[in-house]
Amino acid sequence: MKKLTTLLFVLVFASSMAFAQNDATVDQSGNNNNAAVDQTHTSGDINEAMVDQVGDQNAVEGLNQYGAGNWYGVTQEGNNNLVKSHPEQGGQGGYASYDGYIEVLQTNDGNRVWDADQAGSSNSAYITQDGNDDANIEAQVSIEGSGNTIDIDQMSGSNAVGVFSDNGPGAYQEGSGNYMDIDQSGSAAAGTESKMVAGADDTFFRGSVEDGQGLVQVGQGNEMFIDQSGSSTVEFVVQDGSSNMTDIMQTGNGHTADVWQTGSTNTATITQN
Amino acid sequence: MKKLTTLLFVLVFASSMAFAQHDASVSQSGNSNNAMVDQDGNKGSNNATITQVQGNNEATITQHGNNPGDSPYGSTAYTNNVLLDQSNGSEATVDQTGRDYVALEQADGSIADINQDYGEGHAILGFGGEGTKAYQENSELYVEQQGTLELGSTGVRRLGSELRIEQYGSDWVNIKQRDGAFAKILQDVGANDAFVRQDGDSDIYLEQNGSSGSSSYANIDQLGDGHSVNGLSGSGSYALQGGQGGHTLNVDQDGAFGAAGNTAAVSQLGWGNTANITQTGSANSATVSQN
Repeated sequence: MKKLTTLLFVLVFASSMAFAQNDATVDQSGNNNNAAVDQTHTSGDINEAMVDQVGDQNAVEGLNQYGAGNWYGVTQEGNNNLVKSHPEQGGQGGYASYDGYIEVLQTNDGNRVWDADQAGSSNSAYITQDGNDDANIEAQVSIEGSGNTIDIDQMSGSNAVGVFSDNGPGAYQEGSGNYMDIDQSGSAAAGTESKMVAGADDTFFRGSVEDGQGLVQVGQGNEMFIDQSGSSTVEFVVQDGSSNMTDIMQTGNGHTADVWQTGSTNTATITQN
Repeated sequence: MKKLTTLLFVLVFASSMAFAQHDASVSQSGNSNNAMVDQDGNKGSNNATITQVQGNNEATITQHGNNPGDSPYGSTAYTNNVLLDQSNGSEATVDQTGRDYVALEQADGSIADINQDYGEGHAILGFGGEGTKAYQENSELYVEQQGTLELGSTGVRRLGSELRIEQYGSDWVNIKQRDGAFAKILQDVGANDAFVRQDGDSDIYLEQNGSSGSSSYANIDQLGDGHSVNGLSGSGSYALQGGQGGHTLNVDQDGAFGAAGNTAAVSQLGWGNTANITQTGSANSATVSQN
């Protein structure tokens, strides 16, 4: 499965290379390495960045990509690797991101994604982790557009979405037609903590609603799917707006799930068996 | 700056004259001339000056026989010195062993091949001062330098090579350096290519400033630990490829696990750029800025 995932990842990357304009690749093999990429040219269409790290205690930090159709891929193979502050598509300098992709693949244990931000529409953030890992996506914000996607897959071990980090816990989407899909196996947790970060934007962190950021969708027609197997918990799910939908599926024993919705024509389904 | 550099070189050159064992000077005016200087000595400096006015000339300089171990660090250190000034379409070949200096100036469409090798055990290449400096326009430059390590009372002393290059127009440079080398390359205007291979604890400072419609290419291989890839002074800490874009920069740093690590910081301006950084070992740092 791991090889297949890696192969697919490489194929997706290779196919997208053909359209690359600014293109950065960093390959690091060993421990305690650090990589940073910054792509802010805006006259063309596509920035692409790929960071591949093999080893332990490696870190990726500080990506900025402006414009449309950008792609940022990170693969970390080893233990205790980190994607920290933080991949960002759009947002800074008033440049929106359209059709942007952020893809993070981490294998082995103790890996973390602190944050990923996308501002604009039709952006996608994919995180795949294998082991005792945790992930956060601070914000996908769509002011005028819609259709952002957060997809987090965590396999084996004790994984979590929403463990507190320097950039806050959880995942946040704002706008319409957004989609969040979290698949977890093992002893998993989603929306683990609900804490404010000192100095953080209250909008993202929902301080007035739940004293911090869990799993949050704000707007209309948003969908959230959480699928967990094993002893798992879902806490601090918030949907604020109309025509939103939450679907939580938990299989195994020892589950808890908690959903909070405000607005009209919202739907929440929790299945535990 | 150029005049100052030349002046400094002349001063070094002149100071060595007092102890010179060999002095050769060739001045040729016209086309398709050929100058050859072969200097071989053990107890003094070798000095060669070749000036070739007009185009399509050739110069070949060979300086051997100085044993820097006799006195490598003192004021009476023996040196090999070349001062070479050529016009368009010229070719220069310099082959030196010992403590070597080359100051080179060539105009459009020229080629220079510089090989600096160490003497037995105590070589200092491009040591001190301005070191080796080449100034070219629309030309090609090949340089191979090999330093050495000396075990002294205070430990290992790294006697490295130093290279400073300024090229204007569409130029090409190929550099191989070993053991504690330092290379500073400015390629300004036009489509430039730089190929650099450094072994040992070496650093490179690179700036390629293209012009409209042209792009640059740089390939940097560094083997061992303690390397860095940087920009020139005044252009920030990033190896810079400027202009309108379309540049390619490859950095390959092959270090050891548990060692100090290597650093690569590259910046590309414009659009259609490609940067590839490959690092092996521990505690490495890679930064790519494409803006």
